[in-house]
Amino acid sequence: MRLVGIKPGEEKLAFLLFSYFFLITTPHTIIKALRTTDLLVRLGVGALPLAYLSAAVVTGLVVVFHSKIQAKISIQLLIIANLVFFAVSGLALQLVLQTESGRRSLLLPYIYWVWASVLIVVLMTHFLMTVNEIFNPREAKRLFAFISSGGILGGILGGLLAGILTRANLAVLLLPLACGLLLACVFVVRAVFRDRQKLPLTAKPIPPRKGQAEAPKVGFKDSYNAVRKNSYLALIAAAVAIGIIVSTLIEFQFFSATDRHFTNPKDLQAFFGFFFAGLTIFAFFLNAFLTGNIIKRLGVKLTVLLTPVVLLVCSVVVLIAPFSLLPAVLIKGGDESLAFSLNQTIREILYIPVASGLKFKARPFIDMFISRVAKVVAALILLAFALLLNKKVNYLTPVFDTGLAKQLSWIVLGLLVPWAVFSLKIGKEYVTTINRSIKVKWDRADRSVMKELDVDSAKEIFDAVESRNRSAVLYAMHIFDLLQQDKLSPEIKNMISEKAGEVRVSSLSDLFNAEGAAGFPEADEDIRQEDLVADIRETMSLDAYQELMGRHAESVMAESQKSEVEKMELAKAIGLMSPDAPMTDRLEALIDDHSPDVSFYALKSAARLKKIGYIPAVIRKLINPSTREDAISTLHKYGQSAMPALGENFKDSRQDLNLRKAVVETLARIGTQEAAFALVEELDQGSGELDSEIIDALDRIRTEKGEVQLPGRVGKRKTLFLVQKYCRAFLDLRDLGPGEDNEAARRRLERDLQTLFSDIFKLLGLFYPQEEIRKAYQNIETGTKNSIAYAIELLDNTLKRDMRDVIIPLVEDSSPSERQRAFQKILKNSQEP
Amino acid sequence: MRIAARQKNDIVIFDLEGEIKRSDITDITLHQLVKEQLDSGKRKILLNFDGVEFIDSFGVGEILASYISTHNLGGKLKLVKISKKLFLIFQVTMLTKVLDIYEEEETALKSFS
Repeated sequence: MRLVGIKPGEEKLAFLLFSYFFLITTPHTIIKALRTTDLLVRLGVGALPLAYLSAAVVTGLVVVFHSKIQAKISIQLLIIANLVFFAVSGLALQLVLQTESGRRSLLLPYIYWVWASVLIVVLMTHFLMTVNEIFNPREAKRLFAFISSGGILGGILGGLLAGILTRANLAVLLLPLACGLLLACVFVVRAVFRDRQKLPLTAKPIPPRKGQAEAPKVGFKDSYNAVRKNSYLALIAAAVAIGIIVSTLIEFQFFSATDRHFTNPKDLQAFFGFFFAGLTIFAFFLNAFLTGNIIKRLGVKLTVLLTPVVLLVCSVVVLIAPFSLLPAVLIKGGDESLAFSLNQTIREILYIPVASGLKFKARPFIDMFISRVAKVVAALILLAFALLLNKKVNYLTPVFDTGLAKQLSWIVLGLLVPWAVFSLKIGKEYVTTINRSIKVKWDRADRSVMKELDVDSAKEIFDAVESRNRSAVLYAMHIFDLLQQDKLSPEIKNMISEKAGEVRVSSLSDLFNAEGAAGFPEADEDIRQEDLVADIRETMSLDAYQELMGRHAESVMAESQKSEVEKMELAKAIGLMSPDAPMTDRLEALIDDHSPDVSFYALKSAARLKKIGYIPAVIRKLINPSTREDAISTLHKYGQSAMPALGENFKDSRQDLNLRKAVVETLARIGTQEAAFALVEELDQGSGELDSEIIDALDRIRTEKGEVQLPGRVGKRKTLFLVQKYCRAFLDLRDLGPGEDNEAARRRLERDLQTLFSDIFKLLGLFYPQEEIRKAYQNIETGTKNSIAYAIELLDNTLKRDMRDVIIPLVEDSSPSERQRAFQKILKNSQEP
Repeated sequence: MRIAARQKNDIVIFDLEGEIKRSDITDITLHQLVKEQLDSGKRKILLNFDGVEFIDSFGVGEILASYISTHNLGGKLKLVKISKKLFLIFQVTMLTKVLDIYEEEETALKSFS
């Protein structure tokens, strides 16, 4: 069962759907051969346009009726009722055909044609609606090939039965046999709907809860509006319509050629039987060996283009070659075999990203109404064509020279162009629709934190509160800082004036409403903020101040045992001075101080003064975890001017690893094009020990600054490298086997797999649309069965082939042994030159 | 500062004690401890501030870095039993706009599900 893509638990349902398809296509093929022969023999090829027209009109009416009925009864009941109706009416038709008046009637071939057309459309639509409701995109891709084979097998058997029984003069049994098969299908349909109830919850629609209203039933107008308002569905409808017009014209060419070639009705009917059987055998092989591979290799986007392109080539052949059975068989064979295999599968796939409710409204409209309208248009084109070229009408039927059908290829060629254009648009819209079906589950938090918070100001307030307990001078300088930044709101003033640890409030509102601000400098009311700032700056720039403070600094720095707080005050004060003040030369030593608190104040001052000479000391502080964040923040404020020193330390593999990791973080925050290039260069040429940090940094830069360019070549090479590492880690994990001895190694490998998986997607996001890749990753990691399937489908259609071939096996829902084989193949391919 | 880790179902709870200040850190920071849990696949982290007297800007940086690392992996990091004074400062500095803060551990644990 694994061979045909069926997983444990799916066997019964897959087999039932296979049988369902088989039991409607066998009678369909038999009836098709019978009704075509009947019409061509009795009325000639000129009757075809009228037959198409009347079939389209009647089917259109049936569609309207069907929509109304569909709104009232369950789909299961609808299908069964239709099967019984067609079986009974088919038997009645057989009885009439056996009578003398039936044999002489010129109307009966049209009735037969119309009845068969309605049967084909209704049964096929019901089947496809059933399948579509049951499976998600990945299941569909996996199982459709098997289920479609049921239909193809039915087509072969139906065709062979029609051919053999006609040759054996038992053609009279064919219609009753077809009706019997339709009745047998009733039991299969009942079993399908019974089995559907046993499916896992994710794979079946959730029934309404008790008391909850059922989904509203839809009518024709709803269906029409659903297609009209949705550009994707409208495109599908347009492509379907053109496809049907083209197919009808091609069919007309084919029937003209057969009518011209065969003179004996028995030969004609037998030919149709064997032709349809042969066609379905061809379609079967196409389906079994090519459909899956074509979709896999070309993706949905390009596969939708294949049919118009093939028909374009065939039409050119028909135009160039003399008009006979062979070129007609070629083009009809090409059209119908693709319709049975590739088109059928691709159409099912195209409907899958459409929301269930919308699909339920649109599908019958497109498959039944639009198709009929297209048939009407095709019939009118044929009528016009027949009348314009021949101008002879026998009663209502144009007398048509079959040889003229060749010229129809010009019209076919004219229609293939818009078909190809619409197919291209559908391919693009398909990916967009899949993309819309899943959501980004979380954004990078650094982005949201930066958006929501002024982190520097928040930290400043915490430090102001904290300084209150340490030193009145530090506290005053913090207040001055907040004042300068215009952050000293009344609330903050109230809050920070309370001594840390002394706050005793019964509620937050008590604290906010507290009048007065104990401990807060009594300067707020009388002194203007601008004056205060100017006065302090002026004082600090005085030569006398610099000289006096220089002496004070000397004594503070000279005595190693000197109070830590005094050094903090000094470091903070230097930050308030002008960069060319002599005192600022002392800051480097304060940055290097062993006390993290002193370093912190010195680093903050360095960030303000931005003197290049401080940078080496700031970089040294990246090693210590207690000063690392402050040093990163300082270097971030230096920005581009810190790049040369950062680059030097970053590339030097002898440097402390923590320091190098902190440089990566700094470059991520700087986030310039130059920083990105430095990171990419190290990713490409480095030893690999910083890979995860660099990839995360690049992901962050790409998220925050989409305009920064990243060379895709390095990203691709690194992705392939990480995929290989992932495969090796997976295989090593498989080889470990159970046992407590291996527990540590197992944990390490599991951790590696998790990190590598995340890194691979971050890398992909550097050279593919980042949001799509992130969405896919997040849904694969934490999504439901269906959202995982959509995520994989999105990747399948977003990645180019080189990446798709190595990424899809990593995410595909497959057994451990299948993964093992796929990973071994990836590793083997990577070793080949 | 002392940090002890315990686990309830799939939630890792860090009980913090003392002051989260740059001068008080030992050989490993809160952010490093959180990252270790994330590396081992944990995605739900609760920081219990019951024993925390005060934090400085370094502590704020540690909390925010832990929050970012957790959320970047699709996880959740929340805070519980934060003192009234700290909560007030969190409010004024708008940290409450980003961080999920709960009064009781039970409520915080329930909020993860």
